[in-house]
Amino acid sequence: MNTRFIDARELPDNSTLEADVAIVGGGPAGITLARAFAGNASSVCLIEAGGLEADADSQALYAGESVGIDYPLVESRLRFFGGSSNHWGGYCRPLDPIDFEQRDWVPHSGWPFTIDELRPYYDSASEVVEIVPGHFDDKAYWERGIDESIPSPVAGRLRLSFMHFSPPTRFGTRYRDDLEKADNVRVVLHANLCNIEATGSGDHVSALDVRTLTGRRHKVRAKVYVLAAGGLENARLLLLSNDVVPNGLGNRNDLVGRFFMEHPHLSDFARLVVADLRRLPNIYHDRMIVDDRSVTGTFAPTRQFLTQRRLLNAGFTAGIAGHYPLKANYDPPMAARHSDMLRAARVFLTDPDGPTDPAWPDSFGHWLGIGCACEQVPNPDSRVTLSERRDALGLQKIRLDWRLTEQDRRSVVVHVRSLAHEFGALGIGRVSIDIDDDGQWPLRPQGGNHHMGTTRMHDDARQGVVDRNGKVHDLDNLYVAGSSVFPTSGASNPTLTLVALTLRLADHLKTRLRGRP
Amino acid sequence: MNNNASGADSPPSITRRRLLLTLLLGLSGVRSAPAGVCVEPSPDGDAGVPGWLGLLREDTGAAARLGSVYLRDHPAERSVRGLLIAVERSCLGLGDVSSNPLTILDRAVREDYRRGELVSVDRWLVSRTEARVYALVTLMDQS
Repeated sequence: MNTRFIDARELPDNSTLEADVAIVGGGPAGITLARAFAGNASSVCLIEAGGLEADADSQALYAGESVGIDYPLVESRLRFFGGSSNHWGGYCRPLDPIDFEQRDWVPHSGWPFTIDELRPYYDSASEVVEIVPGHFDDKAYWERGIDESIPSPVAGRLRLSFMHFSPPTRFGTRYRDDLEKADNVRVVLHANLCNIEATGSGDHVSALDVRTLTGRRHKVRAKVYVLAAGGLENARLLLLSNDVVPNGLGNRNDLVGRFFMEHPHLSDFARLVVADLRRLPNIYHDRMIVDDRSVTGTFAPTRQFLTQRRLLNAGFTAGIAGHYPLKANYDPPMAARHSDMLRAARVFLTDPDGPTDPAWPDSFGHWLGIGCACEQVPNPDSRVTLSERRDALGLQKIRLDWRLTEQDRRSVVVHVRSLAHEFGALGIGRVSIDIDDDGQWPLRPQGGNHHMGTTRMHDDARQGVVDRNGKVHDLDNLYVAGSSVFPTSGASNPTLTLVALTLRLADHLKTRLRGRP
Repeated sequence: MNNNASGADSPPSITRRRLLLTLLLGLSGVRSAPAGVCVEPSPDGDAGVPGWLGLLREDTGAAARLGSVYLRDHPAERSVRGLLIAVERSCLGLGDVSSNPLTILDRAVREDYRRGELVSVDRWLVSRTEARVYALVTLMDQS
């Protein structure tokens, strides 16, 4: 192992590591921050709980109690170098401008700044995750790239946006060399943060207490500390650090761990049938390669529709799931329903002078599955707390109570119907809605492994754990990086935004450290 | 958009109605208006079915099944005359229906989707005009 990558299990017991910046967590946020400091005058110590590869004993430390909507606490994150980027799907899209705004129909909404503050960082973050910067709403760019006309939705409810796909970047393997070459960066593996040591008044961090699963204890001392351990663990680590402040560090206003948000994902809630695939633009349902980069269309509500109907944000993607052979026997109820609709609406869904798609001569239609990821309203009762059970390090395990509200459900119901409006108005297909508007979630919602909101950002310490720079309100030298600082979640996958925020934090910290003696 | 399909308002012109009926006959797979349905007779007799309507005649059972669901949920619309008037009304202003009724009907249906004139039929969220077309097919099949 390179000398800049250290195994905490091999350090002499009770070692003390010192740096200007201590980073907790070697996932996308932590590695991005460390890379941003590579070659800088400030020294960096990044501590990572796992090793370079997955390890069952380390991963088991993520176990906990899920007491709300059932949530896979162990499976939804990875505890080794590279963090959860090691199973990341690579979906990239920035938040929408409206996601940053205070919306009177979304309680607790509003970021301390607009999207303009993040725009330059989104471009830099795009390079980090290896996608084309920009062009997320630039239809003309993609039309040129794929040499195909792309119709826009016309009913005013949805708009076409473009989801970019990272390779996906595995931060641990992709950027390990960068960190190994940086004279000012050390990475300490198998180092589990157990306590954030604060001064008696609880307003200054003096050290990090670190342990290994083999029983060694070390300290890390720095000028500034950055928690970048993930949207669940950041909150847990603050709550666990309760020797000075009984409720946990940064938690004088009882906000740490609250407002946990996911992107509720539903499946089997709607189906799109298409009689002639030539009417369905490829980019509506498939990944297209342009300049060696992968992109697909995604459907998001228009700003006007969100505002008029007072809805939460959402995003939909479609993919071909099957086709209907002409000579098949459609006995199963669902297939028979699809068959009936395709045959009945054929007059509206095919061109009269060319009814049969030559690419599918034995088929009279296809059906597409639709995926959705929805914004959920920030909810203080959806929260992370500590369990009474303890892990292998003797620390209280996480307890997650993920909750959704009627407002969340109503939003989904309305947006799903928008798909029928838009695909019908374009003459592309018909949509079957399998989500009843009966006040009940139709199926058990699942998350997208997106952990957000538990150390939310707000200028007012009574409404947020961290300020606009990510600094914990109660402490002068403790910061939080990652999606736990999101005050609202939007409907976009969070990685691009959390990397952008981390790059912004890096600029802030560099300025701060330059100003210190 | 007028959702009243009771047929109480004054009927559209006979020529346009005949053309629309022709289209629907194509959908239903019959060559002329079946006895007993509430339509006005064509002044020039059986108009026949244009060749291009053959594309629409391959399967009327599917449209009829959807139409029957619509009629079950909207029993007040169980009138060929009323449905014809409602469908024709939705086509007003969308072009010359006599030149290509299928194109005009398609425009009317798309306009429904654009404006939100949709109904749920057997869990499909479809244009109201489209649903009425299916209902007409149902009534013609039943007569």
